[in-house]
Amino acid sequence: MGKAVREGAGVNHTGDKVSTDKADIILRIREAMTPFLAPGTAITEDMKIGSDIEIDSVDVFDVVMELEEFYDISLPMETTSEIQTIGELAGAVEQQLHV
Amino acid sequence: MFDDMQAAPSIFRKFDTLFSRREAVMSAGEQPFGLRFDEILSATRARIGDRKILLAGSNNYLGLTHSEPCLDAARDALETHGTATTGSRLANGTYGLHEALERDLAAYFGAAASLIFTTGYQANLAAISALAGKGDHLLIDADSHACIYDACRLSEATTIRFRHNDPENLERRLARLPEEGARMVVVEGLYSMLGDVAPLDEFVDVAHRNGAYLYVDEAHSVGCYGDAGRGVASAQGVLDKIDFLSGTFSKSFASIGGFCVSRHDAFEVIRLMSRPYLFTASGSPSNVAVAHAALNEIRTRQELRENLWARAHQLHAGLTAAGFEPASAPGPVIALPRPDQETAIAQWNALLRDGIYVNLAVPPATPHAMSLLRLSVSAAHTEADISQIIETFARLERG
Repeated sequence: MGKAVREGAGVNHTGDKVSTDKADIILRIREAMTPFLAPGTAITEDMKIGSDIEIDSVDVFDVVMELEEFYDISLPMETTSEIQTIGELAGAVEQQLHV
Repeated sequence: MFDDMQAAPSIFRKFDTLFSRREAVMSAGEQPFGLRFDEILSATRARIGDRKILLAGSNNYLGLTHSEPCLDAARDALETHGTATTGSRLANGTYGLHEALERDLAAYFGAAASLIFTTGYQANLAAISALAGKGDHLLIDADSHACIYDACRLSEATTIRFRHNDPENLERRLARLPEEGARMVVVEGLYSMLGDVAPLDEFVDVAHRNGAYLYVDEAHSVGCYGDAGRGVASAQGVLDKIDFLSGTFSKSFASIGGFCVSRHDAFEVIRLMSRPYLFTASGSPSNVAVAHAALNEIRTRQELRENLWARAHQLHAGLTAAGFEPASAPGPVIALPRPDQETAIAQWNALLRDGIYVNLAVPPATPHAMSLLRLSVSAAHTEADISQIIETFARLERG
């Protein structure tokens, strides 16, 4: 609690309501990564993308685009190239959703 | 600190994955990423050892590398101006022939400003990184060439990717941007991996309606599409609305180098500050002279395009009939997605053994982690050449 939600956040471009809580964002990241992961792979906040989770940089781009679409946000490349963990990715999404 | 380098952190450790991937590719036969041609016999034939190879992956779309006008231009420039300029465009590296080519490119495209660069890679690197500065926004197609990604990194602008060839997705991203700062959308005319064409007419509309400049890289399409070969923007009737149009001399222009033209005369100012333009030697006299000779051929010889397109349709139809599914409509680039990397490598080797060279494209260089056999058609291919390529692929499919 405490952060203001930016105007329009919580509704994606198709008009669907989406949760802006970090735990739900992590669940969404897991869903976006599913096509690239072995079945049953668990995902936690501190896992490193590319080493703990075996996914290559091109697939990460697709995951980011999926999240951008879902939340109706834009994550600049300068931001995403610095991201190492699932928690950081969720944080970057959260930051775009909040003012 | 370290007694010897054995104890130092290895600077090569980061390449461990790359080493193992290279090993996997090499163990399947020839080395596709280090293939050596011993002699280039013509625009469509080469020799490897004692074997003659039919080239179907050279991007030599108009087959001008061995044309008399280009060979003569190279010889004359070499004799008159020497082998190299040995200097930057801003110092001793601007000759009359550099300026003459810039003038004729401006006239050809109907542009107000025109710059040439030492390579095609540098054209995008120089122009995009100079145009977009801190506080500006670059919106790039997700399938952009590596030089566009590198240009974005070199600029200090905020870079946002949008879905490949999707003007609607671009519009949503433009709508989310703050009002401050300039905006520039960057797309390509013909995408080199899958051979698909951009809807530039729609991109012009979306970009300009949202206050964004449109930058189009026509590296693979100038010479092949549009009125007198002016590219995809010309073919779609929007050439005069494109803000910046770049291209390369290393494909249809049968040389090496690149260019960027603009309808904005202020574009000329980047000569004074663009690092990839300034801090490198200018194009060699013979390279620039060949590009200029090729421009004249591209502009005047419609029969080259007619042959290119006849061969492209022949190849596309023949491969489809043989059971392959090209990724895009007929065009100078025909890409065949394969089920996996191992199949693509094995088939690439089989084709080479049968005397056909095509490009092998595997992740991460491809969109959506696809493994591709990529062919490029040339105006210098004969009907019999294309039949030979189709027959070789058909044998491959039959196993």
